[in-house]
Amino acid sequence: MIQTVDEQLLDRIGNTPLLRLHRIGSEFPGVTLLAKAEWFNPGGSVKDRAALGIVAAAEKAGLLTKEKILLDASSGNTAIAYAMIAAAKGYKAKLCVPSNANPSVIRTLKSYGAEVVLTSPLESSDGAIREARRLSAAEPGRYFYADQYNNPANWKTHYETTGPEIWEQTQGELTHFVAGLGTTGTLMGTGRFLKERKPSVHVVAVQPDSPLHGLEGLKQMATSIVPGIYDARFPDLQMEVRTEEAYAMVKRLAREEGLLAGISSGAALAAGLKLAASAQRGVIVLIFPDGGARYLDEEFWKR
Amino acid sequence: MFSSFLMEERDISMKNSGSDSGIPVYIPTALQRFVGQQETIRLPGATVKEVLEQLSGQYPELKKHLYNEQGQLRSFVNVFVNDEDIRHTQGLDTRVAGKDAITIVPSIAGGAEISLSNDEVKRYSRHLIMPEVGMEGQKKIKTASVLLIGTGGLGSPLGLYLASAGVGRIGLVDFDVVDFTNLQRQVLYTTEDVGQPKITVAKKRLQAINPFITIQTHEARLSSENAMEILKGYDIVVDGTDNFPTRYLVNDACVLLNKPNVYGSIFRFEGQASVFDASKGPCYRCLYPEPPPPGLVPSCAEGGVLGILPGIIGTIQATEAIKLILGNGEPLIGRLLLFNAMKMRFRELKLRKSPTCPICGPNPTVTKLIDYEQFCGLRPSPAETPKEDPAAWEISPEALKSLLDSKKPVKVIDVREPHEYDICHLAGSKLIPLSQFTQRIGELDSADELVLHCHKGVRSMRALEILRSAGFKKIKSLRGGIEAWADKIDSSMARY
Repeated sequence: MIQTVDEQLLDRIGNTPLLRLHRIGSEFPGVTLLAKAEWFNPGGSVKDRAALGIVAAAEKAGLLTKEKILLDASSGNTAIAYAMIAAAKGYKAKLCVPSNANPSVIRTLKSYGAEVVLTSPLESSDGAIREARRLSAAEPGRYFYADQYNNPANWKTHYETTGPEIWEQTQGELTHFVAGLGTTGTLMGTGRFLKERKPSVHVVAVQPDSPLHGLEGLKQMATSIVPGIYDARFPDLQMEVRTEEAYAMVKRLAREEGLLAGISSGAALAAGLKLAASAQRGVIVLIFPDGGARYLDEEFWKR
Repeated sequence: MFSSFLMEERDISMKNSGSDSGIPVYIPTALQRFVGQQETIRLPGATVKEVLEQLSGQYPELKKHLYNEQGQLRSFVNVFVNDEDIRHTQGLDTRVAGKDAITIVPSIAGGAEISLSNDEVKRYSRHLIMPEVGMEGQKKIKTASVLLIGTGGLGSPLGLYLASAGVGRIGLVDFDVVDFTNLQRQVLYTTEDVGQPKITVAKKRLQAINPFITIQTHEARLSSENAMEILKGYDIVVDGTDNFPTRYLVNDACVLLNKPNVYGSIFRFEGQASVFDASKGPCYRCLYPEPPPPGLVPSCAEGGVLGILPGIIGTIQATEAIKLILGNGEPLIGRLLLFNAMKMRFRELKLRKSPTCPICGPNPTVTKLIDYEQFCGLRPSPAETPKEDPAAWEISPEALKSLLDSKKPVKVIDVREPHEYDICHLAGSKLIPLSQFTQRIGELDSADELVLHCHKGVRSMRALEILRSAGFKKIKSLRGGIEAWADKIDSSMARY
């Protein structure tokens, strides 16, 4: 018996490939750079994992029912993941997104039938968070407010999936784990799993170097609403990446490796190369959160 | 697409901007820190380029965020003249004049510093038009966090006014349920709320007053074990308790954590208020080094209290909390305010820091939290009488799990409220909320082996006491409640 769409589709979330870069970083022969290519998820990003984890936990606890509307704030990818999962499972979704989000994101959300609430562009994703909080507080019975920034199911899903996958794929040989900070779920969950298996693994957090930046999905913690699931003492190392460095890496990935990656993937790679230069030895795993197709209209491609 | 947002923001900013000359430039929240928290800056110039050059000339810190090493505008920085992206007009050479306005729009990624939405601006407008508060002060109120210890007589007006004023995060500590005798003065609660946990009702009410703030609840009796952990997450602590052990506990924890403690107390027709901030003045122990002998000072339950009195003292405490947040005015530090409602008179006493204060003096003898029940003489010290170990009546989550797995006949009784039961519960458990426990005790059989549980283990101990006094013997309370169960046994369980 063939499974239904929602089962088949959602089964495809996770188990993404770990790609070994062969040109970029070849100046460091003692270092292996491995990229966890999260755009192979059906919704196109790592956020499929967190969204599915949050929805599944809420269903189990009876918090999300067909009568309730799935509500959350996102700067893009999580919103798309929720919209896809909600459509597949037959829920209604209402997503707060800053109005200067990528137009293709907003179109994608509407295509999945989600309701989109646009918030002030001047307040970035934190404005969307505040709007979601306000909506949920005003009519708590109407919504399941998923609250990806504070929902432990976010990091737990990475603890249960991304962490074990990387462990198996590297056969435990990794020395560094590098992830950007947005909701911080990927870093906290995957990092915790890997540290428990191998305490010597270095967990490296990547942040933008400025409150004004183009690293979509990433947050500079010092100037943002800090997610409740984040523990600032957990990462072994914090690295800052300038947007232009990430852009340069995105171009190199496309031209030298054949990988059309998103901008936060470029940021992870920029951090990974700096680590490679200082460590000279090791197996560095980088999270590549999404692919590059959505960013083709960005100015940097033209310069 | 976002022109409507820009227009709205503009209207407000116009009112607040001092100067009228030049082209207004709207600064995104993420960058306001580099321009002295201004939302709008008016600058001269005939083209976008000239205006932005003025801007980065005046605020050199801003320059590296807007321009790359080659002096070009960074590619992800979007500049709009009115509703039009300058990429679609003449770029940086786009001309500006008269009523034009320039807006710098950040990329979507990342965060924003604290700002007030249009709805918030409207809500707090009576604050905003006073220079002593203004936009800057209201943002301070929004970023502030205040912990209310107790949500009773003092906590009610405190909560109502601090929530209305827009204190961004308000913490509530209480473990009590609403009682009919509370309604005469605890204005947070209505007759319908009797029997409900105060903290649940209070949270709902305060959130309804102001949906822009966060209400955090700590359903627990404040104790030496949990006080440091709970208090450390807040900027200001407001003491609305009605007993001496907790008052000393709050004082000591505030001194140890270096936090201001806004104090108030009430009895019959008289009240007191002060601000104890050991870094700047005396603490509660400087004023009262020793607690009164037990029984000497009757409680409100014994001696009575004018229902309005906590309204007066609580609002004085709320005023002091707001002043501390704003860093404005003369706080009640080093002053004890005395109020007599019968005489309708306020008096003030000067308080001095005691050089022999056991906690905030130069040679402290109290360096960590102690047993305050014992300190206040309410419980004999362990040496005097062998104390019954409350742990004897508790069962760990692990022990309960193996008991259930062993299929022994054990009945699990959930003493939480129905809405909590809806969030998560143990399979096969029976719900008897603590508020109905005494009336429904007949539904239980003392021959059965019973395990009681609540959210965190406090209410179930109280239910256990009720059963014990009714002669039940085969009873246990789940240590740490369903929270500990979720922690230790079933990680998939929803937590709240």
